[in-house]
Amino acid sequence: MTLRIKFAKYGNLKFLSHLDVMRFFQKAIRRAEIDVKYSEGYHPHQLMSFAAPLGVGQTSEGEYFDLEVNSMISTDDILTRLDAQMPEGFKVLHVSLLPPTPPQTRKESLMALVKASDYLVLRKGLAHLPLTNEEFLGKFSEFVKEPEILAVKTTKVGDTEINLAPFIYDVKYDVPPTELTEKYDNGLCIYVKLCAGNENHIRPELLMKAFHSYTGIEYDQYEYQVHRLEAYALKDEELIPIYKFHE
Amino acid sequence: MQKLALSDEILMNIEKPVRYIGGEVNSIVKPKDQVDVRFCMCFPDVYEIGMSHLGIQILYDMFNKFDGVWCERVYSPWPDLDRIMREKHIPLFALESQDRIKDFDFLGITLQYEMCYTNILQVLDLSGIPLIASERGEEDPIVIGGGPCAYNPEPIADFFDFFYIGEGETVYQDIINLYRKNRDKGGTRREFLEMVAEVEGMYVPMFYDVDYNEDQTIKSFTPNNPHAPARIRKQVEMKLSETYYPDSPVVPFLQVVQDKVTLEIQRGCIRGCRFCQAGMLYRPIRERDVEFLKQQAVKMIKNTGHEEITLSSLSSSDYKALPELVYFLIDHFKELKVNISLPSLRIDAFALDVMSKVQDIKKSSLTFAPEAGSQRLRNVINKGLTEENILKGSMDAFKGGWNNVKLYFMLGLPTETEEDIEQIAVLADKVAREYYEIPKEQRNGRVQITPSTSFFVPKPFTPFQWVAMNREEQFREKARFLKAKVAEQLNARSIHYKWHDSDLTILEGIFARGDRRLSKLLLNVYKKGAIFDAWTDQFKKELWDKAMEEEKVDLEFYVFRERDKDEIFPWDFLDAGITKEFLWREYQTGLNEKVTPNCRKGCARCGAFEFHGGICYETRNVSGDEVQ
Ligand code: SF4
Repeated sequence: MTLRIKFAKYGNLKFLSHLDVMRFFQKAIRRAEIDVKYSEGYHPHQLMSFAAPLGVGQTSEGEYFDLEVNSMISTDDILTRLDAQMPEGFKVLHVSLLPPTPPQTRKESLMALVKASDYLVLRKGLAHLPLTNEEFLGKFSEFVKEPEILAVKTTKVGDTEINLAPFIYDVKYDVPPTELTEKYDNGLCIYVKLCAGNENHIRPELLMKAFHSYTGIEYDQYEYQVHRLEAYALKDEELIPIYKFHE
Repeated sequence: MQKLALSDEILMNIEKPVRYIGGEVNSIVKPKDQVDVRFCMCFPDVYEIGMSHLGIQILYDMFNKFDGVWCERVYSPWPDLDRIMREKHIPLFALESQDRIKDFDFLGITLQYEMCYTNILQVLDLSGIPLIASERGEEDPIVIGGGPCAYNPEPIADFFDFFYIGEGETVYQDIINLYRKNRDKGGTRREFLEMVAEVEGMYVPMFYDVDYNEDQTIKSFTPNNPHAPARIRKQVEMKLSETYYPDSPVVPFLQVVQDKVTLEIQRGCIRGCRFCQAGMLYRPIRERDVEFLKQQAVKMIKNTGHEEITLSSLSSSDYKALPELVYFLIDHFKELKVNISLPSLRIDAFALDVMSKVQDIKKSSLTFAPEAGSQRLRNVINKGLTEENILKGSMDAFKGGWNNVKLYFMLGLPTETEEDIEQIAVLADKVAREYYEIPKEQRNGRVQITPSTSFFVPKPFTPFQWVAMNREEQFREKARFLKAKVAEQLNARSIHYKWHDSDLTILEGIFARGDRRLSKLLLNVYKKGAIFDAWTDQFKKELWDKAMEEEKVDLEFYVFRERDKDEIFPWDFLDAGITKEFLWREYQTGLNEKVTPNCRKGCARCGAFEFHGGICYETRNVSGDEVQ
């Protein structure tokens, strides 16, 4: 049986690396006494696979992993038990049971499923910033309407220049911060939906960097806190939140 | 959520920020209004090392069980953060509350190895606590030292308000109560330390004066305060199955060195190897009850989610109920896929059976620690392992499918000759030959023998506390000699000799048996920028050479000289149970190449009988007054 588990990583635990998060869940699953499935061999490991890793320093309420179990009482029971093992900074949000993979078909990887992500980009409203929040909003809303938004993407094979414009699926200014985002006096919250996945994974930092080169103001990564809200898969040409994908 | 002491910007610019954020599973946060004593426990090395230490987990659990006491943790900030904290004047903070250490009532520092001494100064300095105890004010935390190096606290005596000598489970509650009592009556820091000095096992260095002879040895060591006793006897916990042991150790987010549950099955050792400080200090051996250990193992695995459990003790094979315990663990944890690791097992039929059940034979190795190459020298050091044991154990293991053997030795042991060193190579070769006795078709590939050597450092409270240590050139020469001898062996191609360099060995030697005057050296080298000396990539030899020159530290005196029988040692005022007479007797027996039977075979009258328990009462059907 494959379970799909949605969780949040927030607050001080945003400093955990992807590896730390995996190790944390392996131990939490054992503490929760979930009947998890292990690989064979002398060093058995839990059969789990994570969706796109989150950058160190970012918070999220749209993280996912798939977990193989031998048995369970119910998805609700798994959720309650696993969430009881979460320290402040982690929260289990949703557990669903995936339909069995038909014989002879390869199991879809969770990583490959993700096609888009929602983020809140929180501008911290620090006093020394050159633009006021109003000026910032004005410039930013013009910027995202540009037909061509050039950015330099650093990959393993080298730097490539890409046009971000087609990969920005949505921008909103009226989405409020959530319970799990960091709080800033005088802060500003922008919602963006960006293309994600193996081919054109657009990180919000890339967008903000491009904005800074557009305005000519030096980019300071500590001006922003990125919070992922949700990850989406594509079903019948439509973006569906990952946890609803099999419903 | 706890507000962090460090900003996002700092945390994102240093290696592994998780070292400094706390919030781990099973870490303890208490409401401040229910706490009247704040204790910060420090392991003066990086987080991943400090979090792997069982002793801290035991004390952390114990203090937090005390009413009104909140115990937190701090580790040495790595040099990257150290630099930033100095630059920006950020005070050192505890992980749980992220509050400044300076505002705590106590700072307890565990002393596990000499090469962490500069890190003690780092922790004090970054906390804004005066380095020298006598310069501290009423507002500063009381700084306590404990752990194995506290058995010669003198080189760091100036930096501590007091040392807790012995095992922590016994009188900390009393000390906390004295602290409250003193505070309630408006007493001073000095008055509190006078109360502490009267508790058995507590050493307040500033209440003692040391006089020296012309040859630099100690003339007298005397209390200068009526509350301080002339001799200080170590604390021992005799009821190890009824005392504190954490059910729920803190689970780090980071991958730490010992990322597993540690089960201490016994304390002490019956063997009496003459070079081994731990084997002498923790006498008498005391076993924990096997039912207690089983329950504890189950609880700790459940509460941490760790996938590995390890048994800890100086010599696990001597634990009487070991088969019962190990087979229980194997059975109980099979379904839960918990790995079991068993360090320091003597290789016999039981060990091989267990090892074949818990590890992949192809990937694992057998370990022997003969410590010396020849039987003669093994008799000198009282290491009971014989060549026959090693060859038979290896053969049994080879037949069982192993083909990888590690052999541990020391160079520079007392009375060592070239012949003894050569025997290391010969022994390694014999093990390899044993392997090739097996018919080719039954062998499991090539055999791999890895002898490795470390350099011997004489330690206080051992029979070798009188001996001269080898010089750096001697160590290097010996290692080179052995390397050449290994190359001459028939199976040289199957033998891979490994050795470590000796820079740190000499420093370890200085501090292990050093006196109070060395605190000047530590201050000097720390001010030059030395920290994390135990880390080869951080160790700066030039700084140490310079500081030693400036402080005129005489290596001949501290390290390279044979001491007189009746010399007063800096640690002689401590009573660790074992008597100086016993140690001298053992030294002489060693020089005569005679072995002393282990505690179970016969009591050697070491002095630990005084503690009224453990092995001493199992083997001798005698009354207390028969002792010595
Ligand atoms: S008194 Fe005897 S039995 Fe007890 S620890 Fe010493 S040598 Fe061993």
